[in-house]
Amino acid sequence: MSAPTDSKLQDMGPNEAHLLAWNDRLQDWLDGDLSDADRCAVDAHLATCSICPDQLEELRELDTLLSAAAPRLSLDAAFDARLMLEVDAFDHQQRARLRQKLEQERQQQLQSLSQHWKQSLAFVIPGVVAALGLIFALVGSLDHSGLSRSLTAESTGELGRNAALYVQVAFIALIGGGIGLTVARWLSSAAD
Amino acid sequence: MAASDKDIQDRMRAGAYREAFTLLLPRYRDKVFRLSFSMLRDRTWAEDATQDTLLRVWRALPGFAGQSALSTWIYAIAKNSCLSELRKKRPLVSIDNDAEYDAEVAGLAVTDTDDSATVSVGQLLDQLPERYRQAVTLFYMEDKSYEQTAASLGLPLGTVKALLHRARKRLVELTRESSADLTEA
Repeated sequence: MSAPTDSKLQDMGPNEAHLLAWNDRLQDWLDGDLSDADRCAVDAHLATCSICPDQLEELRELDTLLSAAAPRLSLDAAFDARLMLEVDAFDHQQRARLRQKLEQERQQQLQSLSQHWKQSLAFVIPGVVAALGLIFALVGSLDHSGLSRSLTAESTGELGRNAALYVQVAFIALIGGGIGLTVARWLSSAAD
Repeated sequence: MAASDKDIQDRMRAGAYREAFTLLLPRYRDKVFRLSFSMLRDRTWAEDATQDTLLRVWRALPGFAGQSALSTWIYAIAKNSCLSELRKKRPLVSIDNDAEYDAEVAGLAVTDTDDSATVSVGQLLDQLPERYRQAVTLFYMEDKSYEQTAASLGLPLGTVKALLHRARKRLVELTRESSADLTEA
């Protein structure tokens, strides 16, 4: 408890100041919250003081009154049963929410997988088909035109004359890519 | 033999939350009820708040990391539940402003006027600031245990003693004043 300030003590009468000074110890005495030495000191003071015994008596009466008036509160087994029903209901709801969440996650994963497949099919398959077309076209052209020989025996200037051939090869690769893209779209819709 | 906090926390660490809760319930149920009553001052309301508190405890059990004592954690949840209840009843109650809060809560707790010649304990308690009244109410409900009162309120032991000393001193003064008023009347 904070000590009263000097100005506060000056405003009080001597009895009031005395009671304030002894209030804590009297209440501790009443609550049995004093050491043996402190209890003896309070007992000695009570034996000689003309103010504190009355205050102690009033505190004792108040203590009895408050003890008697304090409600004896406790809850019973019926409360426990009601609470456990609430707990079970909460668990049931929580399990249902968890199941719903898991189902949502599964759907999201499937969608993500499908999206991934679509992307893969849309880029990889046309690329592979175009590359294959290009390779076949090149190999075929080289064999038919004798370009393999030209590459090794003739100068680069002579290669320019085969430009029509290169356009033909590129055209074949483009057709290959187009076919690949069509196949990829068909596969992606089949994957869905 | 009643389970200790350690027994309860051992079960929680093992993930046996239901078993932990079953041990926790008889240990804390009545203490939470009394704490709730000291704040709400209505038996039915306090019982509802206790149920709400224990349900919150059940929901939060897996998240309890043990940074504070189990009792501190449970009483903190109980106080929050009661404050929520009080706010529901009086939406303008602000916990940031103690004076306002005291006045609002005191307003809620006023009992019916007693027409008898003597002043009842309830009427005397109604004249105390909320903190004093709560400390006194809880102290006497908890069989005058400073330790349990301090634990429930989440206050240091010294603070609880100081609150009780001031409250009882004020109650003695109020008793004298009311006796004098009755004599004059």
